[in-house]
Amino acid sequence: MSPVTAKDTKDASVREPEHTGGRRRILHTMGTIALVCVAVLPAIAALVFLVALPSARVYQRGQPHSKPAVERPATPARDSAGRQKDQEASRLRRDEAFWNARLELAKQETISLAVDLVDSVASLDIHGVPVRNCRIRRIEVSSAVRFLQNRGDWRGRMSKPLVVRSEDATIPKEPLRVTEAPKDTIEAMKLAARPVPSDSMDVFFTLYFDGNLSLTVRQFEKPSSEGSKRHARFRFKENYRQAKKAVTAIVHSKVPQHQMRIEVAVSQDDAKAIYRALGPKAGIALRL
Amino acid sequence: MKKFSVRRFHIPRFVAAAIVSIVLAAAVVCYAPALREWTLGVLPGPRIGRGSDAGSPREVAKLQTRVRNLGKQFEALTPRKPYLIVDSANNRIQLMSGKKIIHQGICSTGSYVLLKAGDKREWVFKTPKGRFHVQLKEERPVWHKPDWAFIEEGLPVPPVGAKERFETGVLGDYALHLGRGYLIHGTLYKRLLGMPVTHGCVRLDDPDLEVIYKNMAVGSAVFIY
Repeated sequence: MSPVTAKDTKDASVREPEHTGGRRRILHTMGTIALVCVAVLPAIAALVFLVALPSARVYQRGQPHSKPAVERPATPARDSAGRQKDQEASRLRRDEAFWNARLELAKQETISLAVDLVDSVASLDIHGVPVRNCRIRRIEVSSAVRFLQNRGDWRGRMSKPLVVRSEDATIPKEPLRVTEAPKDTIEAMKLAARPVPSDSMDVFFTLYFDGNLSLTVRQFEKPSSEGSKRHARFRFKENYRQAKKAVTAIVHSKVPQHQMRIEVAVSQDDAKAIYRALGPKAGIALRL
Repeated sequence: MKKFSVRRFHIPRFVAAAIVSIVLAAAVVCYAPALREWTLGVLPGPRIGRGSDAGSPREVAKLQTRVRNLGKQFEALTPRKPYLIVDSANNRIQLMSGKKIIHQGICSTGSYVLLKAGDKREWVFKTPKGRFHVQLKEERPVWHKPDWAFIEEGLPVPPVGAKERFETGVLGDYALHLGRGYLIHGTLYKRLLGMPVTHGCVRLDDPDLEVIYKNMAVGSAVFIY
């Protein structure tokens, strides 16, 4: 048996180029497909846990469990009239919940906010007296609200004031300026001559409530360049908070809950007045 | 033409796959709220009118009455007598009678200055918020200057009851006391009206102050937000 030399090996590969190359190519393609599958697996898992399951949960919660109280004949005209009445009843029940919450807030010492998305008005109330009515110029309501607003437990929740658990804003609640006492009258005169700082800032704020509900109030006016940066930071913080919550839920083997957002745009003055007026743990009444 | 390839930079395929995997998963995490919104947006909404939501004409009529009564109950909370609303965020006032505005103007409210005296004493000059009532009405009021008024001016603080503590003419022609030392009064610094410059009181221009003084009685409500 003669020893195999490098030349012989080279010759062998030259002799069977198509056979070996084809197998290699197949193996390479299969490897790539397997890698792609493995690569998209975390994304698919994230889609299932962060999108599909929370959405399915909201969808399921929105479906009525009970059977119709009265079976109606299926004639189109009667069915349509019945549906109108049902919708009217549903709307009235939501209105009743709103007024109950507002009356409950009237008993409290703190300043409260009533957001009426039906009439597009946000009102600051003190002891049941509307002290500022703000016209809402734009409304965005989370799709999840559509599924839950007619549920009995949701209405029950809305008939009591929503309490602000935390908040995030682009303006300070109290624009405090620290001043050291002057040593003499000359220094005092210098201090008194200082111009009053302008307090016109772009206003965006979010109030977070229990049950994954949040209300974002933003100014309708286009923000300045500085305001845009602040707004971008504000949005980033909000998204980061949501992502963190979702990851924490997954780590604890729970299905993350969908954050139901309600966003309204009012004038800058209104937004500032609302944010500064509301104290910690302020109460909100919501009409949808 | 040179081709860009992963192989060219000697990145193993599994490293490239790991990077793609992380980027994709991160994108899903970031866009999950938007994707959920989209998913819920395309799903058909729940049917109304089943079970407890079914609205018979009688039920609708009952609900209508209840909602109307609740609205009336809420409206009854508005004072019958004239009342004042002070917007401390934008330094505006409105004198109201029921739901009607009978007078409006500008004012000055708390400056939000935190004055540090150096001896651990400090004051925050802000206008309190909430519902107040006029406790006392006064013509040609005399200002009883507190300690901070001297500290702020770099002056020595006189003893309690010293005559330097009493100043006339600086509060305008009228003052309405709201309690805890807070007043609605006039001012000498008219150019600063509309700005947050006070020590917590509400300063008004003379004509506005006169209208408010004449319309508001002792016990009238003042709402500050």
